[in-house]
Amino acid sequence: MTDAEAHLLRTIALSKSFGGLTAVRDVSLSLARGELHAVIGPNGAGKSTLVNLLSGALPPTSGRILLDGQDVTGLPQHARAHRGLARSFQRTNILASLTVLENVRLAVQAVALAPRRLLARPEGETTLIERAKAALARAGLPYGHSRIAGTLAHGQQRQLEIAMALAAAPKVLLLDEPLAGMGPEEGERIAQLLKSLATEHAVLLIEHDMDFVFSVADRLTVLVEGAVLASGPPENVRTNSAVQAAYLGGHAAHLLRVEPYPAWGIAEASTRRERGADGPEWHGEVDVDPHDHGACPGAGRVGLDRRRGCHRSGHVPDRASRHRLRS
Amino acid sequence: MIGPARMLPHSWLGWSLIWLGFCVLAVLPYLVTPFYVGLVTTAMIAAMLAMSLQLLVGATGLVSLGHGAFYGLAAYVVYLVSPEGAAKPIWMTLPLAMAAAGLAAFIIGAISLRTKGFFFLMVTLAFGQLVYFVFHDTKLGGGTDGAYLAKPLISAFGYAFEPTSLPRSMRAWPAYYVALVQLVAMFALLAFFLRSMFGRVLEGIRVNESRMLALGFNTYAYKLAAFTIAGGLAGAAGHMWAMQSGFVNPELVGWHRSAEALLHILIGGIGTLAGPIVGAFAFIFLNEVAQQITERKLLVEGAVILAAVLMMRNGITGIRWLPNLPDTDPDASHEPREGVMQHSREPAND
Repeated sequence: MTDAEAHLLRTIALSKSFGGLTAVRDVSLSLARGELHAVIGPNGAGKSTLVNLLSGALPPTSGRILLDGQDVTGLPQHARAHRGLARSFQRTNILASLTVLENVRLAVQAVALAPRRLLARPEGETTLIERAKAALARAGLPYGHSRIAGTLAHGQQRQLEIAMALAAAPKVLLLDEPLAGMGPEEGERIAQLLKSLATEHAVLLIEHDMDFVFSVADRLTVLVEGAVLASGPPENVRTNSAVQAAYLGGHAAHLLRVEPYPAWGIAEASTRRERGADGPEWHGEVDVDPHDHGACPGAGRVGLDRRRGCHRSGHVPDRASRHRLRS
Repeated sequence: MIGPARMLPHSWLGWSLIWLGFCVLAVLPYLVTPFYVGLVTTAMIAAMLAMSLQLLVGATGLVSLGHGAFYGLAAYVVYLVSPEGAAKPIWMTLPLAMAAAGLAAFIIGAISLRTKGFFFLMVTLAFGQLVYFVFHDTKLGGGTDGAYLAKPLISAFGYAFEPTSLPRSMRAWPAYYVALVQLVAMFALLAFFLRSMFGRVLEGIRVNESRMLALGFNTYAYKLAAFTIAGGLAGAAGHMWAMQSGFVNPELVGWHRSAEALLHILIGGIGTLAGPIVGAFAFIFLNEVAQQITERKLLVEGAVILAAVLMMRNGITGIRWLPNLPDTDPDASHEPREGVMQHSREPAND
């Protein structure tokens, strides 16, 4: 198998800037057939921006996106959907005033209807309807198809969101936090679904739930400040000390001491994650050794996390110092 | 269940009311004086314009202030293709007027649909006024004064409906029935579109355009198609106006016409296809009544419209006469019904 065949979706040095803020920085990642690739990272790491770049909702500032070996960087969103790329949204994004079935039927119609049939009535298109029902059943909604989508419970709307992405029978599925707001039971069902989906599609998953991510993903990419901090199989990522310092700190153990990590100029860090009002908050201290930053892959950038870390780009301290982390 | 097309009646009662309305219109000339025949013709033409705009406003969620341009342009086309003394048959003028209006809508829509919301409103207004000033400031159609059309007005297949050959009381009838046929045809055509999968896409765009885009719909193309169709249908209304009145002037093109059509939609109901018809009739008869009782008819109109909009957010056709019927669809049940689901495959109808 050549490289292009192996990688259904590939990005090459993808970047996106909003004015002075670089949300996604030189991200190169690839997604193989039959692979479940999870992207994790702290809030504001650029995960959702990445999904928006991949799906075509946002144009990249630089870099390229290859879908099935073809450059789709300049293609509009709808054209990418026709090439086999479907997405779900972090915040539920459905056609709220239409019925559940109509939501999914439209998703099928978008990619499967011959244009000459456009003026036919939808009730007669049994193939479209059957496909829509199958997708709904697969996402865990086998009944209640005539309900108005907006009246569903939140968890069911999340399932509908996934059914809409599935219905198009895409090659690549981009799922932006599919578990957000789901109960544990539904979450378990979706976990099973994702595992089975990954065998036939390539799935790019964005998720906050660490236990979930480590249990289902074949590969992990950690984004911090829009850049790839680490990428590889879950066990490698789990033991990567840069990742621990940047993101996982306090996940396994409540309080984690990070080994000195000279590549990042971090002599020593102690972080812990606590449950805050809007998501995890970070507390702890980090010691920075300025003499080590030369070996840093992102030279000149010191810090754990741009929002909670002690330094922003370019502000390398000129002497060893201790910094308090804040949320 | 997919759900019914939102803008069409959901019950037999609604459909009965609509067909009853059309039947009343069919026999109306036998019942009223010629003055009212003319007035109802005017109302039917206004209803056609408003109904064509409803494809954008109610069905797709696009509020345009330039719709009058296509209406007026079509009326001018009738004038331009009918040199003095010799009227062209309707089977020639109508397609020409609709094609010209549709083409203009395609071009204007292609540009203005690059914007959204308020900006779309402003850009369509600007284009509408552009067309207005073309007719207002050039000698193309008689300039500011407008121009009279050649008579006879309505002819088809070699037969001319020469109004003067009819008894005085029936002179307004040909235009009336031609307008009625077009009104019914336009209603049927729009109902056909709204029920089709094309119409369902427009509905999806109205509800959540960004989602439709992510699903793979080229929403720009769908909106442009709707804009072009609506423009062409507005052309039919403008053509009929020229046929009835025998006169064109730049006021037909101006933004007042577009605003009036929007008002008709608002009064009749933004959520139904029949709304613009009801709204146009209500508005024109309100106008007539107000004129008879006072010199300040605009004041009366304004007050009634304000009251109507405040008290009936969904317009006249949005009033629910019956409580919503319970959902009778078996699929709506949440109980697992595996056996039923597997064995109740319905035989195909064909």
